[in-house]
Amino acid sequence: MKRWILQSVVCASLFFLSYAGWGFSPLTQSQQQPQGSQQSQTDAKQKKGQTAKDSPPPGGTSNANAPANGSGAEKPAPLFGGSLNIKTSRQTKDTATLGFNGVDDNGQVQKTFLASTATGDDTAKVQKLTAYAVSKAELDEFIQQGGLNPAAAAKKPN
Amino acid sequence: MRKPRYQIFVALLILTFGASTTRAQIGDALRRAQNNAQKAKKAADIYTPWTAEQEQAIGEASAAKLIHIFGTYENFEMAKYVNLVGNTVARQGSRAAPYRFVVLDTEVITALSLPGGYIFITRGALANLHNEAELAGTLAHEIAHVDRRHLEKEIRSKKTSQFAKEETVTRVPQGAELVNLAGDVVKNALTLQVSRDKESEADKVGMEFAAKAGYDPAGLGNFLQTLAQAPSSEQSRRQLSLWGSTHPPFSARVSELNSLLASYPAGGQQLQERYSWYVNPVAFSKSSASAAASDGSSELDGVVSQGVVVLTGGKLPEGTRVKVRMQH
Repeated sequence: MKRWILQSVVCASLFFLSYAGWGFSPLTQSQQQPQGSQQSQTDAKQKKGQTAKDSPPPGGTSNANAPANGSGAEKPAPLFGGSLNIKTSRQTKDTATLGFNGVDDNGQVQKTFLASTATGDDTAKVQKLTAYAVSKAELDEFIQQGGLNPAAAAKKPN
Repeated sequence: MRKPRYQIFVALLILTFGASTTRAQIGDALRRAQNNAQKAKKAADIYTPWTAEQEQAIGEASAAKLIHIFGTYENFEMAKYVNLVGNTVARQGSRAAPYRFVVLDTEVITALSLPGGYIFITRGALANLHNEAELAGTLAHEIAHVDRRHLEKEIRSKKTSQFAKEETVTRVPQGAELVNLAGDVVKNALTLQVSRDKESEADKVGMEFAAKAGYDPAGLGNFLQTLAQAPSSEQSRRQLSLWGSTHPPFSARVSELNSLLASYPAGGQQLQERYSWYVNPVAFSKSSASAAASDGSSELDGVVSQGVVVLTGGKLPEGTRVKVRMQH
């Protein structure tokens, strides 16, 4: 009799274990599928990136301010890991060090700033952004210098 | 002893049948719930979008608030360059919004967009991009958010103000209403996670814009990969926590972006040299060098290049007499 009870318990346990595994297996498979294809796509991407890197820099330019081809243009050094002694246009207590304007020590937006209202100076700065507006001629020249696509997409009304 | 075993077998068969039926029912219920959620989302998207005037007013007030928080990095050449790259990509968008691109003066690494075509990228982000394609990809993602009115939809679905609640609102917000609305917009943009489907759409559409403009479509993915590999230092944690709180994990987005790459032809421009000329750590210190020169400071940094001393801090007026002191 005891053996019968033991067999029942074992069978029931096996059943529930196998059901639980069967129940979740399709999801696991669907999660694994993109990972498999992801590797080949990553390889394709690396190959594509390599091709782009091998291509020569854009052709000569009429703009005296534009970079010269093959000149020793300095590669930007990522900021991770150290300060570049950057001075900023805002004068806050940490401006002279790392210039983390607007955020607290945890990198989240300072609540006092979030709660405060923009001043007239801030609004004036927004309105002055037109100084950086790009004319069609400037844009066309920029696109041509970079060997980019001069055609624009069709626009729909707002 | 054979009879009880047979009973167990039958009982197990019945249990299996019952369990699979239950599982099918649960699956049906889940599918129904998913369909209902999709219907609710579609219903939330049905509204009359803000007019150009409304969007402009809300965008301008929100941009002022964002500038109030971070400040702007005022370097004309760099700002103009970012506007040129941004407008090159924005030409591929479907909306004729007047886009404005602003460099925020903070070491934090992020980029964000506001209604009305205001696109922001931080000084910290620019310092960690490697070429123009990465900048174009990052801006293209933000342009896609504006193009598809993502933030507007978020604000209106949350119905945090009367203006946002009304499905068809004709007035242009002003005064306190505009200030409150701008506050909501900026709070959403800076502190809340954008929904995953909107982020995916912006990644996909942004990649399309960048590729159509002639850039290497891998730009944004490459930049995100750089960020994903950031060292676990206090500084990088502080630089990236704002991005982390408003965007999905880097790895998931990189995988998704990489999977889209195969549909684009190779040969897009990266333009590393042009980017480095306009935006690099040297360029960042231009304004400080100019300031040092104008306030009478006697020391400026420089490097020797092909036998000539080049000031890394910018230009000095013609005829300025200088004395070089070697520094090892």
